[in-house]
Amino acid sequence: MNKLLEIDNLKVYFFVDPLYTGFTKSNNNEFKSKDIIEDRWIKGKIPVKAVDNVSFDIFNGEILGIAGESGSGKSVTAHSIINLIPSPPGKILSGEILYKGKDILKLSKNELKNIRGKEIGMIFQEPSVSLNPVLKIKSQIFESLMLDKKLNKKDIKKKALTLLADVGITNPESSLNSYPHQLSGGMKQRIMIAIALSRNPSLLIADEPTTSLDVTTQKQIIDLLVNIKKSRTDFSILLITHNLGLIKQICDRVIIMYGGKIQEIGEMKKLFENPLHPYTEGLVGCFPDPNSISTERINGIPGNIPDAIDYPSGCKFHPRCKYAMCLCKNIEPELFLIEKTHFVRCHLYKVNNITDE
Amino acid sequence: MNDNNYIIQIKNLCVSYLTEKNLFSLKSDKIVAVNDVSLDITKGTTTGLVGESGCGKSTIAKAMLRLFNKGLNDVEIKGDINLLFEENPINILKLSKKEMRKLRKHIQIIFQDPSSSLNPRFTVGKIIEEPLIYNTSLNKKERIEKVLFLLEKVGISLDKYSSYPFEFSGGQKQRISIARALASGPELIICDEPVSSLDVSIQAQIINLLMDLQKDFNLSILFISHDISVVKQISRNILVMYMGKIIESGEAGKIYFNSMHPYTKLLISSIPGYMLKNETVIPQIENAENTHRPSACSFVSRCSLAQNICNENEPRLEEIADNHYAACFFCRK
Repeated sequence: MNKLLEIDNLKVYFFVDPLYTGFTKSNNNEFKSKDIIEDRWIKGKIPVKAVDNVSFDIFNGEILGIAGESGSGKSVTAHSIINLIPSPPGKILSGEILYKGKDILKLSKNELKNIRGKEIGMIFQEPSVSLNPVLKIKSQIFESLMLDKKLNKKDIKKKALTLLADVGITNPESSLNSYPHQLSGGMKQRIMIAIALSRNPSLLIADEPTTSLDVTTQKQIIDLLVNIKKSRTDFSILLITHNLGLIKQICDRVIIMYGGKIQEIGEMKKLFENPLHPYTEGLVGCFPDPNSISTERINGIPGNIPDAIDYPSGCKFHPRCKYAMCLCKNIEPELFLIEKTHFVRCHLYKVNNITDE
Repeated sequence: MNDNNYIIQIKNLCVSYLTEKNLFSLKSDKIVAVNDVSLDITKGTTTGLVGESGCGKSTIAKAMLRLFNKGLNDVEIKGDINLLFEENPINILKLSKKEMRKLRKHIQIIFQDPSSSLNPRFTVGKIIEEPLIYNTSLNKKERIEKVLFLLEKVGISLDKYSSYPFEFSGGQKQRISIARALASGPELIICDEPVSSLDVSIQAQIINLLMDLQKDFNLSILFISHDISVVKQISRNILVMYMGKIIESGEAGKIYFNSMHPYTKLLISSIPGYMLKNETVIPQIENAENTHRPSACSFVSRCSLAQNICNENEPRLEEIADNHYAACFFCRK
């Protein structure tokens, strides 16, 4: 399979005023000497390590899922793919995002416009916030279609109507003339999907597309995404969610993120059958099994997600991990290769590797 | 089962909101939020109430606590809500304001969004102490002891006693609201979507906590949620609601594995990751209009089994198997 998008060593930090954090400037040592403080606004600020050295690929025609608790850096990773990180306070410190061989991070604003929407579409979590409340649906869909200079006004309307019909809106003509508040949450999300697809992108980033929706609507939206994927060739979806059930339903590969780092990558089936990282195991355990019923306690993960300003030393998961060893407290593990496509960031598997050899 | 096992019995509850007359319309509309609902909660158990948003779940919770703000929107409540923990049943809807206030310590509620249901200007200690001041006769020292005991029970470290709500994460805030609900020693706790706004790992922690507390304090819980996979984990009985009516009820296992009503089947098959076991997939008519005609089944516009009879008559909740009720013409015995 061909690589559609390559992310290499992506590092995104947010810099916040120490006033709001309760930490003193002394925590900021590593930023005093290094040359990355070119920007004046970073001086004296405290870094929030949202995404730290993340590398992965998206292949042509796959659905890749990113899962993790909130605050694990999923959304920041997705937003940086189309360079949507607000700066300040955010800054992409290092890394490459190669889309079909071109580094997105080095593109100018005009070149970016040709990538956003045309090559990479995005849908966001809250459809009611993403749509402009004072504009009719019509003008919001036309807006992106008008960027395509070849289309005249008639074509634009025709295209908008087919798009709306494609995403399962039963009455496209009247929906075009309504305002967002007149539509239900599921309808709004369908319109968001229609806008994202309007310029035929080859990658769709779906950032928690169903979180604010009812379960039945969620199912419809997910079915819609799968159908769109099937009806197009060479179309990839990056699905960001905290709901492992969704990932289990539609994804080919999964990335588990925690503390701004990838903890496990693997094919969906292998990862769910045999979760290797203790965090993945915990996440899988958090879900009440939909296919059985028991009134026993759920095997969850104790504790809370760590503060991105002040991560624990060593493995970031060790304070919550039931297998934590002395080693975990001091040294952060690397991503170990388990099988061809399966990587895990956990000391447990390094030990195994050595004994196997 | 005899009546003594119930803690609360709701009989034929109807709640309708009267929309305000505005500048343009001369008459006010009536929106029926809860339509002829009866439910019982057995002592010491959890009853789950499931349904999509807007089906009237929270209105039932509000009615049970009489939490309606009469000034803002006029509410019409009919039916009975009988509390049975004393010898004589008490009808909540017939109490005066003063009597209701005395009764509130027996029924407590946990809301969906913990950050907006905790007073941001109170310390944790004060938040949990407040119900003790009004509902018990403990003195200051005893109250502080009780607060510390509750904090320990819900898993908040005691040195957080004088912290403010903003210093906590969502899961911890929800723990604090659970402690507050427990403070007055209630028999019944209503949990209105207590885990919907939380992360999955925290969801599991809160559900485990509720299950532990139920054993420790012998609580009865009404667990309201839109997520049937969570509800089936914690509840003994499940009630499924659709457009203000209960359309299926029974034991959790029966509802989950042997659901009869097409809507329940739809809800269950919508759970992400649910594998259908040699069962026909339920096709659903999408984006159907949800206008409800009084003389038809409320689900008819979305139902794949719908036939003429569904448009003409409204099915009533009938017993289709032992302790398993459904309101559908096609699942009768």
